[in-house]
Amino acid sequence: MTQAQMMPRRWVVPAFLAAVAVLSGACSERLLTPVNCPELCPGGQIVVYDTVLTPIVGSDTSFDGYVAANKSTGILVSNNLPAADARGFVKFLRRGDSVFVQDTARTYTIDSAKVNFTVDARDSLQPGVVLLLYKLPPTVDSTSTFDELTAAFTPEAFLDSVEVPDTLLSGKVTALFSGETLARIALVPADSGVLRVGLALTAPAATGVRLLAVAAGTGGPTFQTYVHANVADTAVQRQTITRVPNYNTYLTAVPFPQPTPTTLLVGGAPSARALMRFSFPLVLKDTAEIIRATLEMVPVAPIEGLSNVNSTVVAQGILVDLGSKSPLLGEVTGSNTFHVPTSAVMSIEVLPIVRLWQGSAGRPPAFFLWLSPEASSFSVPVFGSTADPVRQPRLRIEYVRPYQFALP
Amino acid sequence: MSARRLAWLALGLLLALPAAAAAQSSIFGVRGPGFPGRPYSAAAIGTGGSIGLFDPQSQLSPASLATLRTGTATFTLLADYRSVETPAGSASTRSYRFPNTYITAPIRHGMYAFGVGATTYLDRDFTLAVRDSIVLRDSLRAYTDTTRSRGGLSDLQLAFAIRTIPKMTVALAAHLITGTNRLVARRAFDDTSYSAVLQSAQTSTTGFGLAIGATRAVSNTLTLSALVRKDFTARVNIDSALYGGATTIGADYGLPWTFAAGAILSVTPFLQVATQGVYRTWSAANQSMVNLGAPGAKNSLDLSLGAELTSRARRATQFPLRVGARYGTLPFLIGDGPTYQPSEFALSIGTGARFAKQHGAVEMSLERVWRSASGSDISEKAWLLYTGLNIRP
Repeated sequence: MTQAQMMPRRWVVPAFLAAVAVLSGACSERLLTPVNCPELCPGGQIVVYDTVLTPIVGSDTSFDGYVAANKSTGILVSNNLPAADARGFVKFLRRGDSVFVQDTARTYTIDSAKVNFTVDARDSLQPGVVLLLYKLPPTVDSTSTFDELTAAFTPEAFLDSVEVPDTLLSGKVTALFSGETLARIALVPADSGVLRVGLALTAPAATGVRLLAVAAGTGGPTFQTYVHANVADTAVQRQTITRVPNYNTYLTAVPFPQPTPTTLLVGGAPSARALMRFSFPLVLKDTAEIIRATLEMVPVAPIEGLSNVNSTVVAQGILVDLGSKSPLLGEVTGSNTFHVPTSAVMSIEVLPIVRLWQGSAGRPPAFFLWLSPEASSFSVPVFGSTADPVRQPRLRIEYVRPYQFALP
Repeated sequence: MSARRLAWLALGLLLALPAAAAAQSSIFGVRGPGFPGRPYSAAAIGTGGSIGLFDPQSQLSPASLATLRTGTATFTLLADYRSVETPAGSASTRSYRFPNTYITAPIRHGMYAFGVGATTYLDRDFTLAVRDSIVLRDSLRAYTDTTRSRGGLSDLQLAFAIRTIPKMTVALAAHLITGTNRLVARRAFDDTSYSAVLQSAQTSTTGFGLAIGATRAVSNTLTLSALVRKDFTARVNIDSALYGGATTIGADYGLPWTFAAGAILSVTPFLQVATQGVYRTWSAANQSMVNLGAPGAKNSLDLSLGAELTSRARRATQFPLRVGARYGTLPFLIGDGPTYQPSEFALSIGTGARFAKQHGAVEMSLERVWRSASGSDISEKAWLLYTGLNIRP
């Protein structure tokens, strides 16, 4: 074979490899093509159906007694706010008369003290908000009424006023006691080492704040005492004694509304929740692919509250229907965060919950509604129930039936 | 390697192949059971398919085994680059397929030959996107529908040729037509309050066919070939539930008769010219297609003309130049209301070479295809690059 004859053959394998390389580049398939229907659409088109379900008549109701004010994550304080005129009460853990330093209990001399609160929510457009702190006698306790609490807010019991800066939407505020003011917070023998603080509020107009409570985990009230321990070593003389609440709550001038047989109520303290049950059609349970589900709740009256502070109505599915004690499905929720005042229909997207109702092992077709933050909102929405056909809840569902693939 | 061992190798390779060795996709395969495949080797494609009835690596006719000299395994790779125009817009697509795999061998000292292979019968690979809107809750909601199909029908062939008659070969073939089609429909709303619709299904189809073909050397320079093939009813099953007014799951549709004839002429020792015509009675599927909601089906005709030019008559397999042209009508109609039968025209060029002491061969062909449906605004152009690998033990 001559050199000339060898040359073409030399190119055979490289050419083949090049071809394979080119083809390999096409391995990532791309077939997407824009088309018009029905001219180039096989199998017809997806048809979306719409239906509206209402709860089973008489099966929707509200239950109360879930979360009490003293177990909630917030302490409400307001000044004649129409939605809720509230005062706060905090009872700290006992402060002992000695402090442990170098493994020995030492007496101490108080240098200064602080009472800290964390503002969780306030009307951002209301300036001049000032918290008023009162040192309460031991006669005020967890059984006290609003009137008994406010009766103890005397000038003699006045501790301090704490300004809530106009720019502060949320964050810490502190009352500092030192020098001449230190005597105001001094604990007398009758206090048994326990500081009880009453909370009121003043502002140019009716407003309120929500302070974090001890149940919030972090940011709850704290009582800090800075002391000099009676110990020779000056390096360890300065000590801080910190006490968190043993009990905190708020009381309102007028109790929150209670559930009635003809309305669905959520919120308040102790909090109320609403349960509603639906009859779930077979086509939705077994066949349909649900693409949107919206629960619509109609308020029977405008929802009041603290302006520019949001609350949220939460819808949650249930694991089994045990009435008021039905266990909630943890992570699957729908919610609507609303501003006050409002009388608009409240729409809550509940698709993830409704999808759990499908199939032979589906969850009960029911919702629990509750208000977040539970038992620490100035708002108490009241919605119509099936007793009021005009204002009864509606569940709007859009769904698709199985697509007809058999058609070319 | 003996014929028996080659047969076992062939069977093993066929089992290892994916069931749907689909060929090129097309927008014109959307409104029917698929886009018809072309059972040709890369070499035959280079001549526009005109030597398909004579090429032992093509599966159009079992009689093409007439010229088979030694056991051969053929694999064809196809890269398909298309640009599609529809009233909704344009798109560039690409796909990668194995449209033709064929194992052939002469047996009994060449008195007979057999072939077993897989090729594409109908290809149904597409992804379609539609932008539209509907009124939901008193508002217009825009959405994008995507319909995706993957799969189609493969044609598994067992061919047997009798070469004992002087200057003539008679061959028979049995065809098993089978395949699955995975379908996914998705609708995504612009308004994310609506969850995307996602539904899927899988269809499976089976059919059976028989073919008889013959090749006769009329003279030293002219050879003729003919084929008659009958494919019987395709039975479709779908895994999804009954829906709407449907009373049965799946459907049946008729498969066509195929009539083909061709001639190859050695004009000089360096030049061969071939022509071929293939007619398929796809109208057998028309009523079923219409009943299923498709525009329908018509008979298709495929005409091709090509030539192969070699530089040396004794080494005709080394870098021949193949050119060809073809015109064809496509069986499945498109349109809604007025319907249109698509057609295609293609020009092709190709070459090839053997290596490894004639044990291996590479064939390459490039085809430019124009497809359209007169009267509609739908058209597409494609570059089809075929690469064939032949192995002779």
